[in-house]
Amino acid sequence: MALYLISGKGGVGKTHLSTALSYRLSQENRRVLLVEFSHISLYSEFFSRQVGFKGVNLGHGLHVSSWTGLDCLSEYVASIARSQRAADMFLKFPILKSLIESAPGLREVAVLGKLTSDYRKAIKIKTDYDDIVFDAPSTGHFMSLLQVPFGLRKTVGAGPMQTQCESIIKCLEESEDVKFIVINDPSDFSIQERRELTNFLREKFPKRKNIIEILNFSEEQSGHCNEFPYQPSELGWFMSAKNLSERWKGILNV
Amino acid sequence: MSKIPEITVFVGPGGVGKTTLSSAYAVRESRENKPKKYKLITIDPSKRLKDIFNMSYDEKEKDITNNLRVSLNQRADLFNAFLAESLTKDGLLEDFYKSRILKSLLDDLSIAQEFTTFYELYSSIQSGKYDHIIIDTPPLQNTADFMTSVDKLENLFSSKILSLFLAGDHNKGFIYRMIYKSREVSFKLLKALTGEDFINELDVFFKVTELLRLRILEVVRKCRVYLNDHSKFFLVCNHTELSLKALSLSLWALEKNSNMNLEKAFINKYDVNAYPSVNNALKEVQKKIKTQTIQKNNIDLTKLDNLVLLLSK
Repeated sequence: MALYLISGKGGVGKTHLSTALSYRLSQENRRVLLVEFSHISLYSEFFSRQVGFKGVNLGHGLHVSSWTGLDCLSEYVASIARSQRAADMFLKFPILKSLIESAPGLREVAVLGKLTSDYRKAIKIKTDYDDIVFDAPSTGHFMSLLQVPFGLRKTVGAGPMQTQCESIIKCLEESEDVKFIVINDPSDFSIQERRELTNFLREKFPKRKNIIEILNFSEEQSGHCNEFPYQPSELGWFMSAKNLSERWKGILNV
Repeated sequence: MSKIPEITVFVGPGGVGKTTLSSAYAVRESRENKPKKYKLITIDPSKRLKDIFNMSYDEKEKDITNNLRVSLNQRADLFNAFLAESLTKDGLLEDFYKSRILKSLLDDLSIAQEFTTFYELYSSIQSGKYDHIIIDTPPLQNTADFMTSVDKLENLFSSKILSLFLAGDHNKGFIYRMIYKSREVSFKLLKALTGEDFINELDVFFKVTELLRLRILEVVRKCRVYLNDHSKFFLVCNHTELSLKALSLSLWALEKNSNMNLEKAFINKYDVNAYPSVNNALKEVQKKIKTQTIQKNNIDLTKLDNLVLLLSK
């Protein structure tokens, strides 16, 4: 059971890696949920079918979904209210809706809360998958997202919000089942961004040992990078973009 | 009122060369059109612009030449500047800094990000110092969120809901008004969700925000006009299928939500033999571009000078 959080500079292959990894895991007879986080669903285009908050089954145990912060928040409220109807009523109430939408950080915490729920034993919003692959936003926005529970923890001295933030941070820092994957290609910018993101992760989650670094490259690209070949971290999987696309095509035929 | 400068916004999917191209464009334009003054602003939190111009992560702005200034849109600094400029009465600023949520906003939370971008655009224009402002944006999906945030911010700060929220007897406090206005069950839910401590913090936050409401609205509304009526959008993409898919989706979202004047497209890292589907996708892009200019290039773009040359053609 694992949660994979995949980030890197824009255009380095996050979505290719996420889909390829999900496909491979599903081939090992696991129930896998592949998640994109966006108001505009690229996956709907990618898989040629309507992808929404609820997982869509592509077959072979592979499911895809597209989350927004508000979806996750609404589900979280429902879990507290113990009914979706009560939650809908709550979120439709104009004052509360306005508050929820403008209160800083709530939506981000809801997303991170949902992602980590299985690993924190938060049974109420259990996701029912063996593995989750999160095709995360690119580095800058991913760091802003991860920063939120740290910010809210400072803001609220006590109460459920603070407990939730502590629990998310602990899970992201300590759980063996959570895996950060940072991918880059052999361009100087993306290497710089990989460095900044891994430094950020090490600083925020000092107890976390394994950050998986992946260099996505093809032979002909190797000349373009001053730092090439650099050594990715301990687990580093070298792979070529070509192999990755082969796997990706396999997914589309599911 | 100062003259509105030319505004150029570079948009496109991730990793296609927006930062590189916008830098090259700014360098070339400023070289060729002296003594006109240029400002290049990145609104991407990953701040790659700093690497091109050798800036440090915390640096605010840097003069590259005497007519080109580069800004990393440092949000805490900008938000502080906005507060200092807006809360001029004695003691107000000190009150504001007592809010713990506000402190987190400046340090950790991202909500202020969009607003500070608008504020930088607004204040750069108001300063009257620049003839041309160039904006480098984050990958398109985030840019689409950014463009729609004009409406979101305006809705929030002009809504009757918020004024209802904030009006009335402040002494009785937010919790009192919440119970009064909402049903008890809803309030219990909110308390279960966030805790009373958080609600109390929000009370302080919204009270001080009220003081800034009209200023925020002014900045946001002006920026809507700047972006809709005075800006040219330059599109950057490459020929990979995924990048073109992301592009068409995001363009659709952008067009739905704003009156974007798409002026020019750069197909970067172009290779006509790579995918046959690319040419169809390009035709779609071309339909959306008013001047019908698509510039394709396949030269080595790793050197800024090459790009400057390319753009001069």
